[in-house]
This record gives sequence, C-alpha cells and structure tokens, in this order.
Amino acid sequence: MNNQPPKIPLRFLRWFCRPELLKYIEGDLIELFEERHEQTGLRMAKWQFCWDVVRLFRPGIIKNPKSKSIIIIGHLQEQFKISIRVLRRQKFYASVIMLSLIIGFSLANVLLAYLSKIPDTDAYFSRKTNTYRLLHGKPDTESRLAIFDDEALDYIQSNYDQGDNMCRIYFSVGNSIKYNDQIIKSPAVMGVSDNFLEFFEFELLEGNSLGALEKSSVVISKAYADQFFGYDNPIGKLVTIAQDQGNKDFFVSGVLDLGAYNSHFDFDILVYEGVLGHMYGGSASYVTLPPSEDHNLFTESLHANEQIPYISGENFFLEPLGEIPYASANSFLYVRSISEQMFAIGWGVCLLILVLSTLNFINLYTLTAVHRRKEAGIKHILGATKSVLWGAFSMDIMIYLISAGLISLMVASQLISYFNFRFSTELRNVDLFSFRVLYLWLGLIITMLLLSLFYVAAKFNIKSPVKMISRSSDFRLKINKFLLIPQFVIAAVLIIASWFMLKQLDFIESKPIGMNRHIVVLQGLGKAELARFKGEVLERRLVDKAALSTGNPFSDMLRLLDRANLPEDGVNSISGDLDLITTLDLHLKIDLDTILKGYYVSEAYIKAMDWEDSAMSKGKFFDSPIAGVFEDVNMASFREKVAPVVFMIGSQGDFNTLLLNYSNRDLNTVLSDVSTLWRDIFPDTPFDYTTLDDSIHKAHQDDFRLMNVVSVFSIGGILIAFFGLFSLSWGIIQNRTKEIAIRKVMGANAKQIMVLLSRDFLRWVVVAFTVAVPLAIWGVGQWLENFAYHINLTAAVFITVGICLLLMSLLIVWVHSAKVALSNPVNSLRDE
Amino acid sequence: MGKFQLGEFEEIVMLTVGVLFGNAYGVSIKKEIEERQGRNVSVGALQSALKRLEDKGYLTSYEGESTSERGGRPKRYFNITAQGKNAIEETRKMRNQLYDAIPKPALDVKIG
Repeated sequence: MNNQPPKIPLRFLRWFCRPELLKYIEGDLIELFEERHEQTGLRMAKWQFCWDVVRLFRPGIIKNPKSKSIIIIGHLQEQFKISIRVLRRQKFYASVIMLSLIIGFSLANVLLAYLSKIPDTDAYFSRKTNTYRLLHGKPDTESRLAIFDDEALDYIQSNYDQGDNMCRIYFSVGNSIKYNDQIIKSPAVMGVSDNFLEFFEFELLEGNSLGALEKSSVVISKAYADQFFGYDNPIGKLVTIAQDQGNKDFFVSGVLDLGAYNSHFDFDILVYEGVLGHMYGGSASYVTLPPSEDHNLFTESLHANEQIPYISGENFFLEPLGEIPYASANSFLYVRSISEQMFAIGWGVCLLILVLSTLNFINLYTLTAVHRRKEAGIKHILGATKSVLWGAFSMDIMIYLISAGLISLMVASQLISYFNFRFSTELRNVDLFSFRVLYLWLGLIITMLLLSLFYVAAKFNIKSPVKMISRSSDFRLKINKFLLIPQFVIAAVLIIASWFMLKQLDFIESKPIGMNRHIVVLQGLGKAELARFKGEVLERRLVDKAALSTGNPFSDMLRLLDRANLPEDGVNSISGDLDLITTLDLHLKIDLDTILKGYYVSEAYIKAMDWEDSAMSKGKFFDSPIAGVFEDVNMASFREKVAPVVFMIGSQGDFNTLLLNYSNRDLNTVLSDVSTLWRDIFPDTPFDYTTLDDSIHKAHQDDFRLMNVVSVFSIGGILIAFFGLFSLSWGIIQNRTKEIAIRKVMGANAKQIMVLLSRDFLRWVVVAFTVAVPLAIWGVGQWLENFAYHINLTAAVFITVGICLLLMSLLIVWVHSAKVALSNPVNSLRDE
Repeated sequence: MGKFQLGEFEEIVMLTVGVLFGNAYGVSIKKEIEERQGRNVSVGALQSALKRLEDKGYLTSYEGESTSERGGRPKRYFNITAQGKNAIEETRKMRNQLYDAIPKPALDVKIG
C-alpha cells in the first residue's frame, strides 16, 4: 500500500510555494501526515494533507510571480494581437459567428435568469424553511385546499399556541383604484391580517410598518406610488378602491417595493382583512413552527379535534413555502406559480438554444481555423510547444466567447423589459448577474472552449506538424456538414411546434363555443343600476340584445353539488333575466316563441342524467320541470370537456353583471358609445368592462405564454441555423475555388457547378428535416393531449415548413456558389 | 501601541514561540496552540503568521536538523528577537492598562 503523502497536492504545493519556505513547510506537512497516519488512518491523513495544502494557498506563502509573469503577459499580448489580426482579416465571417453567438447567448441569458430565479423564491425570508401554508382536505379525497372558512381559522388561532405565529391572506376583488382623476384597472388587492408585514419580513419603502395596516389605510406597490404621486410623498394621500359592493376611501400608509423581495406573492395593494369583499369564501393561512417541533403533532391534533367548525375530522397538511411556486393546486391570483410543465419546457428550450449555439460555434470556428493550419504547422516545426499552439487557439475562442458574452449581457438587459411585458415576470437587470447564472455561464464557456479545442485538435492532427502543413486532402469538412444536422433539426422542430401552437390557439379563439362570443361584460354596479342601464342602452339602440346575469357566463359559473336530480359531478349554473338566452344566442333544441321563467339545461346534462331524448320533458331540476334544452356550450377552458350546464332564467337572483351582445357591430364603436352613456349616468363609477373573448383568452393564458416563449426561441433558433449554413457554405466553397476553376476550364457551365455545390448541402438539410418530423409530431402531440378540443396534425404544415427550409437553404448556398461559378477561373487559378 | 502592530493570532504565536523556547518549529507550535487554546490551527494560517512576524523582525529563524519522519526535510526553529520582546511587552502593558481602567461596577455582573 502506498504510505506516501498524496502526490498531486504535493506537486501543487511545490508549484505555488515560495522556494525559501518550501522545504520547511513540506517537512512540517510530512511530519503531520506521518503522525495522523498512525492516529487516524491513511485515508484521513491523506485527506487532511490535501486540505492543509489548499489552506496554504494564500498570500505570503504563494511565490512572487514577478519574473515569470512578464513573459506570460507578453506572450498573451502577442497572442491577443495575432488573434485580433486574424479576426479583422475575416471581418465578415467573424461577425457572422459573433452574431449567431450573441443571439443564442442573449436569449439563453434572459431565460436562465428567469428560470434560476424561481428556486430562489422567498430566499430573502429568514424563516422560509419552517414556515408553511396550512392545507386541509377530506379524508377520502386527494384534494388539498388552502382556503379556510373564517370561523375555522378563528377557532384554530385562539385554541392553539401555533396560532400566535399565523398570518391570514384574503384575495380581494378590486375593480379599480383611483387617485384624483387617475385610474388603474383591476389591481391585485390582498386583504391581510395586521401582522402580515412583520410575519413576511417586508420593510416598507415609505411609511412605518407598525400600524400600516388598519381599517382605513392601504399599502401600495412602488409602481402604483410612482404612477399616482411621482415625486410627491405618497403617505397620507387619499385613494379610492372600487368594488362591486361600492367605493371605499383609504389613506396611503405605506409603499412596498415587492419586486425587491422575489416573494411568491404578487399583489399591488394591501389592505386590512375584512375591509373589502374577497373571493374564494375564506382565507389562506400561513404558520411558522419552531424548527425543532415535530410538525405531525400539530396537524394530527388538528385532525383529532372535533370542535373545529365546518372542517372537523378532515386531514390537515403543512405545505412548505418552497413548494408553493410549483404547486398547481391552490395557485390563486396574486400567488406566483409556474406549472411544472412550463418550468420543464423552459429549461428544455434554453438547453436547445445553448446546444444549437455551441454546435454552430464549434462548426464555424473550426472552419476559420482551417486557414491557420499552415501557420500553426510552421510554428510547430520552428519549435513552438504544443501549449503555445493550444494557447493561440484558446485565445481566439476566448475572444469570441467573452466578447459575445459581454455584448449579449447588454442585449439581454434590453430584452428584459420586453420579456417582463410578454410573460408578466418581474426580472431586473441584477438577476442577470446572480451567482447561479454566472456559474452556469462560466461552466458553459469552459465547456465550449474545451469542446472547440478538442475538435480543432482532432481535425488538425496537431501531433504531426508535417501533416499540418501538407496540402493533403485528408482534411475533410464532412464532420462540419454533419454538425449542421442537429442544428437544423432543432430549428425545424421549434418552428413546426410554434406553428401548431399558433394554429391551436387560433382554434381556441375562433371555435364556436355554443354561444355568441361577441359579448361585452359590464360589472361594478348593483342590480337596480344595471337594470336601468340596460334599459337605456336598448332604448338608444347601442346594441340589439342585452341581459342581466349573476356573472360572466364563461368564468363565473356557480357549481351546484349534492342536490337532488343532479349528475354526480355536479352542474355549472348561472342565473339571468328573461333575455339571457337570446342575448347569448343559445341554440334551443326545440324553438320556443317566448322564453319563460324556468330551468334550461344543456344536452350534456341530459346525457349525464342518462335520460333519453324523448323523456326529456319528464325530467326535473330541483323538482321543477325543465323549460328547455339547448345545445352544449363550452363554459371553461378548452382543456376540459364540456360540462353539464343549467341556466336559471327569470329568477330573482342577485344580478351583478350586464351582458351586451354586439354582433354585427364594431366593438370599438359600441364600447365608446356605451362608455359615454355610462359616464353620463354613473359619473362616480369607473367603466369596467371585459369581453367574452378576453375571458376565453385569459383561461388559456399559460398556453399563450408558452407559445410566446417557443416562437421567440424558434426565430432565434432558425436565425442561428441559417447563419451556420451561410458561413459553412461560404467556407466550404472558398476551399473549393480551385477545383471549381479547373472544372470551368474543362468545360463545366455555371449551372452545373451550382447544382454540384448545392446538392451536397441540400442532402443534409433533407436528412435533418426527416429527423425533425417525428420529433415534432411527438412533442406537439404531447402538448395537444392536454386539450379536450384540439386541432389535428396536418401534413400541410410539415410540407410548408420543409419547403421553406429547403428554399431558404438553397438561396443561401446559391448566393455563395453563384459568386464562384460566375467568377473568371483564371483569377482563382493563378495565385500559386 | 502604534509602534507595535500585533494581531490576536500573531500574539498567540509569539507567546507560544516563547513558551517552546528552543523547540519552536511549525508542528510543535501548532500542537502547543491547539493544546492550550483548544482550537484548530491550520498549517497555512500558522506559516503565513510566522512569515509576517519574521518580516516585521519579531522572530528570527535558523535551520535545524532533518529527520526521517520529515522525509529528510529540515526543521526551521524560531526565536523571539529583542524587538519581538518589546512588542509582546507593549501589548501586554496596554491590555493591563485597559483592564485597570474598567470601572468596578462594569465587571460586577453575575455569570449565567
């Protein structure tokens, strides 16, 4: 067995240690090693030896590098000069390489900054690891709910010690916030318990955290404060928040810069709990437990407690704060979440782009290096060591990578605002420099450097200088062309995918949903005011049909469960006045002359109840006979199958919504007419509208976002791939000028030469496309599976993409080959 | 004080060199400090402190014998110089002055 101290650390020590200290330090280390060997064993002794050497690497022990560094710096300067000279000589070519690197790097940079920020959500929060969101769920179901009824939470908070460390969050609906005559629509309002700022360790930018959250005060985001007050002090200013229930005035008591925290919350306004109405019928609750405590004790004692109102006997769970950003269940408005699918696709796309850039760079760089092969060979023969040759190539590569990296940082910082706008993220320039991103970059650049060097070495036969300067034809560009395939595969897959996504989303926007899509939805007033407004609108003939209802028919359906005469999964319901059915243009199975008060059900309802069509008239809903049956309507996201729906027509519901059917009219004219009328009648209430189309769009927001990501990256990808082809064809044709000249002298015409040159490239593009098609079919198929209603994969898309790729490639290759084919062969033959 | 700059660790090293009079070299100093102070001392920290102290002129060194357990490498023994003696005395004096200047009630606290 080897009882000697480990060799590599020793060698390292000898390399860096001051010569006058070396023998003593080595002696000390060996003495310690021997001693430890006896006391703790060889393995430990070796390990400690290594560690000691590492800790010796410090100023005072490291030798003065003066003498040698002058040579090294001079050498590097020389290398740098040569590299720059080479780059300048191939200006055009170098800028193509640079451009494709910058495109790839910038896109990847922004995406990396975004993706690497997600795991850091709430990292600012010192109690992140022992703070949880409380969940409950019925014992026999899988669902876990974050929303608690107020009474249940009151009970828990007053009966458990843990209640002292709890914080409640309500998700309120604010139609708008107003200061003087400035209005911001649909702000994200959270109602919170008064310990919220302290609990989540938020510090206010302006104002005092203590007492900031009281009944009549409001904390607003920095963006809102900037927009409303500019440079004025916002504290104490009066703002008005409009809700369906009416307007409320608040004093601004604080300004919070939420973006500085990377919190999982995403709100604009904070108010004290209970002062504004809220959604979901309760609140979410967060609790901090002592790190040492067994958490099961808490949840088990909750489970065992039969006194908790409404939810006694249910199971309780603690969801760690770190899991909330990925939790698809309980992802409310104002809670930042990313579905795992999006997260995975994000990394996948990022990786694809990086692979694409790396391949492209290696491919193009080695092509430029070809021109320096002879130079390297001569240097080698004259005595330059291998390390000098490596150094020369590394310098070239580093110049490319580092300058592209720096430029892409600048480009990325410009892209960030676009990215934030398109994907509603809150990235800042600082995020581009987070340690995680920098490490990833460092790793990437080193990998690219090593790969390119390895490739150059393999091609150049660097061991044999004679081969390097010989004009033998063993130097082939076949591998370069081969590297083109994966690039084109990636680009083609991305393009096909984004095309199909576009088609699917187009389908979502235009597919008939069983009711008229041309509906304006007005909210923000009570039943009486809306009824009056409906009368005015119809009287002035601003629209033809209008109706009152209990909500937006696409998104605000009420789910009825556990009653008599209901299908097992319940039924979606909405109430409205007698005009609702005609306003929505529902297709009744049996036309009625007049719509009467009663229950109208969809075909899916009949199916779910297993009634035969003929027995329809005997069916009952809530013990009343069914008044009519209409064709199925799609009331939710296209990801879900059509569910049974019931319209309760003519009931005395609490109508809070006015629906205007604007078919055959221009939406903008209707909106401007209606809003003018609204302002005349209700000057104090902001005109707040949405359209059914908007609601459908909103329900598929994730999909639109995904398409945006994929389409942006597919454009980047195809640009890089074409740059690659462009330079590769140029390089290869340059290498064959003499051959072409000889062919021409021997009688070939320009056409034959163009065919000869382009045939080769096209073969590779065709191969790449054949590989891309099954990959794209698989990928797009996976995504379409998510939708209950989706388009079919059509061959036309594949064919079009294929033909476009082929044509573009042909064009690119022809530009180069035409130049050579049409040039005078004498010019290229005489230079030797 | 201005004349003599001694960090806390440097002071401990100086004193230990004094304690080990005649037998103060890297490993023995390291062990002595670890034993007396109960803290771990890395070879790196110790060697750079020794080098600093020697550069300041507080310590001198001479080459000692080489032994087989050191793989034939010689030891390097340290001694305190006159200037070094002044430095530790000055530091001690200043410490005592400070201690004496503390008003009594300030130290009249119970432990625990």
